Amino acid sequence: MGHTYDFASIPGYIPKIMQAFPLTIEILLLSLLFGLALAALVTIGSLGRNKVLNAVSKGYISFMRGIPTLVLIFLLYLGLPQIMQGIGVDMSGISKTAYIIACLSLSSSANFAEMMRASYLAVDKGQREAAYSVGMKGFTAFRRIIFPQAFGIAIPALGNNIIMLFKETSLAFTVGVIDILGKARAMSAASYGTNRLEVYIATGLIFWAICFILEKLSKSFEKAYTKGRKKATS
Amino acid sequence: MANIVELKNIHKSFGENHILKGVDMNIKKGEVVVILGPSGSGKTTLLRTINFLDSADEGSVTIHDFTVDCKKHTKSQVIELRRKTAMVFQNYNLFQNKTILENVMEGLVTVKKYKKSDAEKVSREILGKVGLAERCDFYPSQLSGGQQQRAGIARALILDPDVILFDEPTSALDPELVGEVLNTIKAVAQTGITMIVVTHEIAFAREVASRVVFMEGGVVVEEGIPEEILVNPKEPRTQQFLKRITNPNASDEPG
Ligand SMILES: Nc1ncnc2c1ncn2[C@@H]1O[C@H](COP(=O)(O)OP(=O)(O)OP(=O)(O)O)[C@@H](O)[C@H]1O
Ligand SMILES: [Mg+2]
Repeated sequence: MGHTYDFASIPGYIPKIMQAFPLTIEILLLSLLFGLALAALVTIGSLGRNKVLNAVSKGYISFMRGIPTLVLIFLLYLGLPQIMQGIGVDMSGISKTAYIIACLSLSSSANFAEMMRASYLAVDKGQREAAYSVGMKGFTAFRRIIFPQAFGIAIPALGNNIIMLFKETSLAFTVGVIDILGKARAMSAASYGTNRLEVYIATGLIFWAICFILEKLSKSFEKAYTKGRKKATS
Repeated sequence: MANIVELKNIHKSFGENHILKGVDMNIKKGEVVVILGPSGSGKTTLLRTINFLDSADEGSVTIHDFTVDCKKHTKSQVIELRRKTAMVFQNYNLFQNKTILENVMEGLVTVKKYKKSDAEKVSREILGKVGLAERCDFYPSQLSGGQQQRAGIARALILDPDVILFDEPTSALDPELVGEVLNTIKAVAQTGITMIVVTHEIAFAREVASRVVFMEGGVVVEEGIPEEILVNPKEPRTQQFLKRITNPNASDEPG
């Protein structure tokens, strides 16, 4: 049962796996967009005065944070079409990628919502009062004073959440989407698993490198955004 | 001469706590009213009910002939009232995401709809007057407390309000910075703008106040010209308070 590993072949796999990069990025960006939009709605619900909306938002967040993304994928991809068929709706026209984007949007929206709520509440309430004291209306105060500060506070968490979301795109392979991991699996299968280790090492390196870049981007964006605003520690 | 500020029968409770128990106040244009009183007497709450950062439960607020009923009012009434006032906060509350210059410009641009270039010009002028010409492009966190508070005063002044509300403008400052801010406030007082100042600085009160109001337990206990109230108060509660505050060693409560 001897098996020889050819580590020198690893770099060669990278370009092939990267052919799936555009699809992975598409999944990431669309999930991010919908996830943030959903999260904004949920945040408004959780911070507003309406008790019912408060409860619904909190429940939504707690459910979405508690359920493993993989379970959500199986529920939506396998379970939902069955139920819909029962009531006469055919969902077979929806692409696998769309399911994945929907699932990742839902699951990430809970984390994004928590991030938004925490960042909003972290802005000193004196800031809003000062805005009111110069005569601003509520929405103007939010747009000009509160949101820009909450956004600055949120950047590190936003970066982390995007990295987490990026890693979760790898779950797309479970329904047969050829994303980065799907591509790697296909390559491994095509050679009957003989190059399995090398291919997955290459895959791991790709994920790590992209996360590393995202991390750096997040740091420099935060720095650029907050400029000299942070107190110099002297 | 007509009053520029009129408070009628202001009542305010927080939950079960009845904090303001019927405060009346009439202030003429150009008056500098200093409010004194022990901690918890409702001084901050009173200032905040004037610009509706806290809405009183009862009574009415009139500023420059515009009256808002505390019990029932609309959002737009509150905004109109706020636009006749400005406030200087104990903790400065400068907009942290904006430079000092932008802080001062903000109200002009968003509320008074000035063109940016015009707003910048007058804002630079006023920042020069409070001694911050060199600091226009700094962020609040890069300035000393005294500089921040002077910027806070500039931000209030630029709006040309009918009355400026000062809530303990120097009590968050290091002692060596108090003087510069008090001097700035004195200079503002001399321009004839109407001011209501909550402070514990008795010497300052004596110098700038046209009237001193002593509050305790949510009511005005005594008021009059500084010489009366600060030197010869009639009410025993005022006497006690002044004794405590001018002689901290005899105090059982930090001033
Ligand atoms: N938002 C609030 N909720 C509940 N209680 C409050 C609130 N704001 C003020 N109070 C209470 O109202 C009372 C008066 O407070 P206020 O801040 O007006 O006093 P003050 O005269 O300004 O005192 P100080 O000299 O310490 O600033 C205090 O007992 C305070 O605890
Ligand atoms: Mg106070």
